[in-house]
Amino acid sequence: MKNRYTNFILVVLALVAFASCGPDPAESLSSEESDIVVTLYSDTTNFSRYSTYSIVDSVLTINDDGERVRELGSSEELMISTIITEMAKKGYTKVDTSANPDLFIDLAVLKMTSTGTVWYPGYWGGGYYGGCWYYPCWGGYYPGYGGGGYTYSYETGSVVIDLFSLKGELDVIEQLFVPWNVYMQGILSSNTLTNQSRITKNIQRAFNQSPYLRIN
Amino acid sequence: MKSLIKNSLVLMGVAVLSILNTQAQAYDPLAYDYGGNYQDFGGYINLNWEITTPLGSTADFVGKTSTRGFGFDARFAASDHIALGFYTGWNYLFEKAERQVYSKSGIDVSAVQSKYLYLTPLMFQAHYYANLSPNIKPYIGMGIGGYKVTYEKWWGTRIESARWWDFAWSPQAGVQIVSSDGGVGLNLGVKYTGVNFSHGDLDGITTLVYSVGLALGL
Repeated sequence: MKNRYTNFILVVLALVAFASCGPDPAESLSSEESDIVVTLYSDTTNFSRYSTYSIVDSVLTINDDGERVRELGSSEELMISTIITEMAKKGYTKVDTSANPDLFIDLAVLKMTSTGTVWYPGYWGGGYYGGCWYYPCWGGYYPGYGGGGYTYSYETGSVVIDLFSLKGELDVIEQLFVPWNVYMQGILSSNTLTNQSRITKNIQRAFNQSPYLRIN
Repeated sequence: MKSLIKNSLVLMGVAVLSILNTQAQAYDPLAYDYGGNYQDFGGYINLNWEITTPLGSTADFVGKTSTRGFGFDARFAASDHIALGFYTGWNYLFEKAERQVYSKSGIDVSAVQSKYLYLTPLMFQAHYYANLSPNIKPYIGMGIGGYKVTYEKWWGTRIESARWWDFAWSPQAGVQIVSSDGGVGLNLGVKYTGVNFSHGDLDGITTLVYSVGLALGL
């Protein structure tokens, strides 16, 4: 009597073992759903103290081997023009770099696919911090490098926007102060058709979720 | 949620009343064809489909009742009314939130969050059976043991996860309705489960699990 169900139970248990796996978000989310927009900001900064800004005319691309090149394709142009539009909505005035702006905006596309350490001095040779993407330190708001580099774990095609203060402020390690920093995960994919709308949408999200970033 | 808890309490109440009622009667094994008690069979294996309703902070983490669950439950007769055994299986809770902005000081994150809890019990259990009739066997019981908990919170495709075993306890009640020879039947049960697991958004895991399954006499 005790063994009469043995085979049946074993079959059921085998089926159950396979059935217990759930969907993996890394595979089941649409590209739009998988986008993440992280904005890090200095919560002691009054952003109305700035009024003018300047922005790069090309986008820094960092590759796996640490190679850095400046590029200006259609995607890069769209990023820059979208930021200019959003900054205008916030009340900031775009001026030429030679006109002594209060802020400077730099852009980088991270095409690194692995984890490691890279030296990224930034356009102005100033400070840079990235959100540390290892749980649980991703909330860290700190200069992400020491001794000339920072540890990264970015997905390829991610975009970083840095807003540098040029009003003489320095951060804790005496680099140019970055009161606002954006990390947009994976918005540049190999699909150029969706790239355009994802670039616009995610840059708008970054500005929309930063209500403190305004002149008044 | 309230109605589920209310229904569970009613079910547990019925089971308790049934047992009290039985205890008031003189037990006569010869009244039934096969004795109507556990020792004639040696016990039951229950193969259950399980429906899990999260409670408390667990419901704040994943609010949706899940129909994805399975229980393998072995009960061996220790006396006329007492069965000892173990159970295992899995329960799977999942919820995907619409895109929103999550904020704390100095950081805002726009993301689609997907949250998962995979629960795998390995519990020892004891049940008290009231043999109302040869066919209807209400029971109450308690499970004590461990749960392997896999906690996953996805920000888009970025995962924040934790996994370990933790202590769990589980008062439960139900009824088995079995065939005239006692060899096969239906198991209906409900169990409250508390798991001592705290991580991230969770401060302990509490669930109510409804079981519907096949009871196989041993």
